[in-house]
Parts: sequence; structure tokens; C-alpha cells
Amino acid sequence: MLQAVSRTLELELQSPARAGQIVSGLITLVLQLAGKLQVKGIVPGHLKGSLCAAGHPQACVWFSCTRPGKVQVETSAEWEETAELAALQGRINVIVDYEDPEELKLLVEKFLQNFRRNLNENQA
Amino acid sequence: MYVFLTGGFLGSGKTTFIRRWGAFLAAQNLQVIIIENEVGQTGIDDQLLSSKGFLVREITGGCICCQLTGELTLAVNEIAAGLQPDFIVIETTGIAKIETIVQTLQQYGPDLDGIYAAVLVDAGRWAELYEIMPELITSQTAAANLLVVNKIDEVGHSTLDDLCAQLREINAKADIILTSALQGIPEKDLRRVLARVTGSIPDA
Repeated sequence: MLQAVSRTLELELQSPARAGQIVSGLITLVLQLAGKLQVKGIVPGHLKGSLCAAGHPQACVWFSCTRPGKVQVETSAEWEETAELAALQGRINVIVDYEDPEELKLLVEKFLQNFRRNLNENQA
Repeated sequence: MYVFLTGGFLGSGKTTFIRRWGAFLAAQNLQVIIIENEVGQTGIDDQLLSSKGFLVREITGGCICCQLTGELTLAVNEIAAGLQPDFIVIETTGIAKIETIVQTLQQYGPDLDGIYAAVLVDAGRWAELYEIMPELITSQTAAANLLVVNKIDEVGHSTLDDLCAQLREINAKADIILTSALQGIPEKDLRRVLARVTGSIPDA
């Protein structure tokens, strides 16, 4: 049965991180989540989201994933890979064929926790 | 004013197609407003389309084919009474049943020059999705005036031939375009779609 989980994220980093590094970490986690949700080698739905520099809603990166091992990433013209970002606003929508809605929510929460933790650990 | 519905399963490339189609229409000096519908509570595609310069109205938190039919008719009627663009392009959710949206617009929408439904087909996941949820995939495919077989770079020729044969069995009347929308859609294909929508060439 198709289940949808949407979350927004407001993230303040302990110290600024490079935009390109943030996206790399994000892609790794999206791929891990896709691997957990895959059925017959595909994501039976869609994982997508965005991250924008806080206070700069035009500086954004979007991701989309429909199969394990592959994430499509797109950036706005204002997003600069070398920019140092101190705060981020994110959105994620996970809509997939998944049996247990509560388990899916937990997977998405875990994804967000890991994203936060990795960003701050990499700065430590 | 035409309503151009863009349907197809989750992640099939609807937003990417709309970017190409919307840019093409704008280049023909046709005014376009996009209605973006997402099942999730937070809009993501509207943010992306707005960043590309499109006028976007979002309807989130449900599907305009069932829970949010009122929001759909309100949005379309308001746009028709206000900005009156040449095209309202509607991106449906990936789980929408196209025929019910058409019925809603016919019953409660404004006077329209036409309603046209394009459905994106994810070539790379077709076989698996058809196996996992055949009813939804068949319903979406059957309701299309145009089938945009997308992500053809992910499959071989024989798979593509089999896919097209299967699509023809479900919907023999729809036009079919083969493309990889991420890389761009040939202008000749977009011109043909425009001609079909406006009736300057008749339906197949």
C-alpha cells in the first residue's frame, strides 16, 4: 500500500560546512534509504526533497531517487558548491509502496537524525 | 484556455517534462500557469518550478483526483477568472487517476477550449511497477491522450519495443513520444503535442 511521509527540517550547524560536502552526505543517506525501501530492484515510489540555505530561499539543491544506486541532483543557479553554510532548511517527501506506515515514519526519522548527526560530527 | 494534465506514476519525470513543455509554450508566447499537486504535506516540485521562473500554484497534502477536488476546481476557476492564461498545466500526484480529474473539470470547471492528458511512463521501472501495482498503472495509461515514455536511456531497444507494444494494448489511441526528458525533448515532438492539443491536427 502506498504510504507518504513528509518532513521539514531546520538545521543550524555548529560551524559552517561547505555546500558540496553537505550534498555528498545527503546523497549517501538517500542511497541508504533507497536500499531499504527497494522492491525488485526499484524504489516503488519516489524519494525527493530539497535543501536551501537558510535566509536564501533561491539557493537550493533538489534530489530525487527512484532506484537504489542512483540519485538525481539539481541545483539552482544561486547554489554554490563552495559556499560555507551555517543553517539549512530542508524538505523531504517519501511516497512508497510499503506495508507498515509506522516503520516507514521511523526510517525517515532515522534518515533525518543521521543527516543532522553526520553534519555535526564531520565538523567536530 | 486549455488545461494540460500531466500524470504518471511517482518519479516518472512529470516535473522535468513540465519544465520542457512549459518553456516551449512560453517560447511560443503562450502564457502558462502551473498547478502543482503533491500528496505530501510539503511542496518540493513547486519550489523547483518557481525557481525556473514559472508561475506556480500549489495544492498539497492530498490528491486532486479524490480528497482535494474542491481545491482543484477553486484553483482552476480562480485562474480562469483572473489571469486567464493560454494554458493551465496541472501536475498531478503520482497516484492520481486522470479520468476522475477530467470529470471534475468537465463538471465544475470553467469553459475550456480543451482538456488534454499526458501521462509519463518510466521506461526503466515499467515492468516492476506494472507487476507491483497493475491497476493504478493501467488506469493512468488508459486515460492518456499522450504517453511520454521517459528515461529511455535506461533500457535497451528490445525492452522499449516490448513496452510500447504493451502500452498499445492498454491504450491504442494515445500518441507516444519516446524521450529522456532530463536530456531534453526534441522541439518537433513538442510542436506535435501543441498541434494535437489545439486541434490543428486531429487526434490519432
